[in-house]
Amino acid sequence: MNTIGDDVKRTAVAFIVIACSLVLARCAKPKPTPEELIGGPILEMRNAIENDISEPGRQGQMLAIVDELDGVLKDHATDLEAVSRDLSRLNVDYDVPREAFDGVVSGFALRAKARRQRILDLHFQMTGLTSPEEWKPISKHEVEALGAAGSYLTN
Amino acid sequence: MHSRSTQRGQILIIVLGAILLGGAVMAAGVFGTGRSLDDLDKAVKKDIADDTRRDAARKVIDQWSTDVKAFLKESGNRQKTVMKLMRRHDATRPELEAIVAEQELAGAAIDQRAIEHRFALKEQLSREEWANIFPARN
Repeated sequence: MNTIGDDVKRTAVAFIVIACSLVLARCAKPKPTPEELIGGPILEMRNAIENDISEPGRQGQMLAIVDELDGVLKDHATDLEAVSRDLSRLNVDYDVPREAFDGVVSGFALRAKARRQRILDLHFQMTGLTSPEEWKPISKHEVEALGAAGSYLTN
Repeated sequence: MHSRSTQRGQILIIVLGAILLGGAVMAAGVFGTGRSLDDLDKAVKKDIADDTRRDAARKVIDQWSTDVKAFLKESGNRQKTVMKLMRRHDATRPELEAIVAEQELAGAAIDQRAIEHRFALKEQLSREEWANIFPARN
């Protein structure tokens, strides 16, 4: 019988495989956009909802939540890319004061914290709208989507 | 010093959970350079001719690696817990928030350590050496 622990292990392995594939793929072609990375798991979430939740009302609510989650994750990936550029630009400057780094890092931390809270809001809205059985396939892809948003800078 | 592949792998794993697990500098790699600490160590070995400053610089990088390794180990465990909680339909918000808050603190701490290491490294390098190791990107 599959346990959540087994699923988590498989998902973790899948993340690593995806990330390594991205590393290899990046050697040969342009960097994928946040839309490309996050789009796959988000589409899988939508498919799972459409397949497993037949009531139109609940299905519509869930799909609207996934749309919002998609937006939050893409915002995060885009912000992370911008922060990476800012840190890189500051770092090359030999005379840059420490406060400049602190400003970039603390600004990102605040924005990321707000996004995490919103992600938790959306996550618990989804668990509130689903049964444990319905939640199982959806949550698998939710975790993958979160991983994709965080993997944007993996190169 | 860790091998390049090991460290690269560690960074890969942690950024996978960056959205929930925090740590801006950590998530951006070595200050957004796209390089690992092992790459940085190799550059320092190659570009700093003065033995005393080179050794001091490598010591900073070594401590930086040690800090990253400790952070990644703890974060990996928290990441697994977060994933399990998110898969569980009956997990509660306080359960998830507690671990996310714990990681936010750890992420803020490793960011500060990384900034400290960056400035400690700079102390050992001349302006020219710095420019060679961290060239401006277009």
